[in-house]
Amino acid sequence: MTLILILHDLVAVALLGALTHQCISVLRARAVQTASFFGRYSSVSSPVFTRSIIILYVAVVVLGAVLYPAYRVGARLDFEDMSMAWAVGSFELKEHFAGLGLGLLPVYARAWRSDHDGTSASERLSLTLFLAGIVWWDFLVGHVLNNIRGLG
Amino acid sequence: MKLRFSPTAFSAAFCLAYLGVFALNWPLFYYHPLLKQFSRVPLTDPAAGPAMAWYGLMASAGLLAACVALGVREQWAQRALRGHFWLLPVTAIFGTVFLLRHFFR
Repeated sequence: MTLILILHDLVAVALLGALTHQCISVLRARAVQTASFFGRYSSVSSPVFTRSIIILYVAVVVLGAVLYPAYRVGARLDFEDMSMAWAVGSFELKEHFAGLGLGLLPVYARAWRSDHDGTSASERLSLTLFLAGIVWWDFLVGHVLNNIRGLG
Repeated sequence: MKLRFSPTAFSAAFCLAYLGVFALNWPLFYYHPLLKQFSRVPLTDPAAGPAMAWYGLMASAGLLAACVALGVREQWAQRALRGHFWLLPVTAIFGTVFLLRHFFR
């Protein structure tokens, strides 16, 4: 399980990076032609990122689903014993947000498929920001809770 | 007959269905991690340990959303939700936070 947890973390880092990259790119509506780090960072082709983000998101959720039973009968009981209801609640939010994000992937994929299928830039922006918010929340909660509980 | 699948309708319905099945506690099934066993209802035997509803909630919401997505045209869903789609995931998020508020008191 520890190996799967580490793999889950690594895939989550890749997803976090890709989605943040796409967010910055979408927020900066005009392509930036400067050679600065930020200029290059924000001038990526967002549609190219979409397929990778979807694959990474599904992979993270599947790995999380595999780990979930071990959390339920292990770490969660420890949090309850320590009267850390906020930790249990934060994880509950993490799992439900991840599920909602999974359900949004079809419309996210459709939104980035083409510029000419009726999707407005604001729709793409809101969907991308929404997914990024979920991924950031889930990543930070997972990181904090893992720090509390530790491996093993 | 070719089946049509509307991604917009699926995601919209999934947000609402997920919030609904979570609020009403309607998972399609439960999973008992101690027994490594699925069941339609939570087992009452204390030896069964805790019952997990999340997989079942995902299945319930996914099933409902798939039915909607197969029955609604993509163009219609896009037209109906244009400019307002964001309200659905935001509602689902705030609804979920509200339903879990007891953890943060």
